[in-house]
Amino acid sequence: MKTTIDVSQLEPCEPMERILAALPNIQVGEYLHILHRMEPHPLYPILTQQGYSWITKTNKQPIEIYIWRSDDLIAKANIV
Amino acid sequence: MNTANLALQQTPPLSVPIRFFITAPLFGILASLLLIYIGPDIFSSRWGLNILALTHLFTLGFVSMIMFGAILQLLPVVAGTIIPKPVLTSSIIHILLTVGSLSLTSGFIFGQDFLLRIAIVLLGLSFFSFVAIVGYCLIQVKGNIIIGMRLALLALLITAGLGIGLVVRFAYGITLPLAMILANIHLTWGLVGWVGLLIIAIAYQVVPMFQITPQYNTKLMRWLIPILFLVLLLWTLAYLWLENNKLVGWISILIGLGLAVFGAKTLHLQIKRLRKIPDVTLNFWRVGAVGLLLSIILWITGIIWTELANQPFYPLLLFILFVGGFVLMVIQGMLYKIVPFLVWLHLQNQQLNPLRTVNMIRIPHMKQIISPKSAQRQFWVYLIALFCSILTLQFPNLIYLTGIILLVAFILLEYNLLKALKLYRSVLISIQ
Repeated sequence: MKTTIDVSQLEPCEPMERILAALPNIQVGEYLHILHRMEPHPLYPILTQQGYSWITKTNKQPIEIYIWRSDDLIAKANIV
Repeated sequence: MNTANLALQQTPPLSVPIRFFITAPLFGILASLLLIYIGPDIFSSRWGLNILALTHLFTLGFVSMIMFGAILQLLPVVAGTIIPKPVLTSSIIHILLTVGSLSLTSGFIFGQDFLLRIAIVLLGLSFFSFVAIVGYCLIQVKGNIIIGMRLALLALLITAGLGIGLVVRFAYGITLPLAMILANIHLTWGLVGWVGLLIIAIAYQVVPMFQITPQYNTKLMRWLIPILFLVLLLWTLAYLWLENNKLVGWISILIGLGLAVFGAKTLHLQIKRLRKIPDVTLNFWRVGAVGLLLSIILWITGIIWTELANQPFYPLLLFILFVGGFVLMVIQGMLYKIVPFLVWLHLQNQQLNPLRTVNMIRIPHMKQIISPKSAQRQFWVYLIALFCSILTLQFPNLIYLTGIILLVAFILLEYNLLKALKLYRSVLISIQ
């Protein structure tokens, strides 16, 4: 199951605030699907530090970021 | 698909860029004081030593200082890389640039050769080490912003090389062939190459990010900076060989048109903003783009109508419009987004670090770090100073008023930045 958050029309630092607020709600087997205008580079070290993994698709606008708990293999398998 | 796990980003400590940002307005304050000190004599000679000091307080002490900080901060974001030993390296470069700029400008003001000799060494070390370190970090990465940064660094090398050559002439009394032509080439590479190209490259990143506009056109991002760089090279060669030939003028019109494309596109993107909410940064960038376009119109008119270019006010008005109206405007606008964002980001990082965090508190929002009201107030003071400086060309005695208003503008800028830093420290103490 995925939760989609569209932050593509928000000004900094709202996108990161929304994403960080949503992270604790990710359950086992679930992942976050983010729609963003640009790659959120400053978010990545925070995700690593907090034990999350991510994949970023930058080939179209808005770009998509998939975030899941690093130890959750089911969530990872669910990401298309 | 980009598996970003492989490229773990590092954010440099806040002190790395902020030391440059905090120092820059102090040079603005010095420049304002010098303006008041020179008074109406400013109109006596374009190449007077006081004028040289004044222009370098702005271009080295304010503009290059902020550009250095901005590049060091942008490297991890656009290139996924960080300079080695960031705090030590940035401290050394910052001290070299600060003391070097002070030596150069005071050497000009007091006519002391030894200060100029010190400046040659310090500024030379600062520029060449900065270009070498940042250039090394940019070698293995690709992208339009990276190409822009690389070419801006090359332009900085050319500007610094010529600048040092010209100062050697003052400091050691060596006669330099084509000194005036080399001075004009130094000025053009500094303002259009180093500063202009870098502002364009940074705008590709910060305008869509902070002003919620659509992205710049891909073809424009790919070609504008390299074409401008090549035309600058062509202009330099033509100017060296043909001096003030008509062909040189036509080539420089091309440079103006290239910059105009950037100014017009930026205004166009701002009109197409995705969220039309009031924003002080937008005011800085709008006036900046208009200042750029006006300076280009004046530049091109001066080339076509040479009588205008021979008027004493012409080079000063061009400088006021390009540096005061465009460069300083957009740079200040950029600071009002980058500094609050960095403060917020670093506090957020601290808060989420379980090894350092004791108390979980709400991190202040960007608009609480530097209030839009304070930024807006500083914008208006600076804008009035800009208008006054243009009026000074007609009413020379207004220069004292211009200097005072400009002084207030830079004091307010410094106050706003220091207030953000103070808030950072107090929230950090609350977290830890």
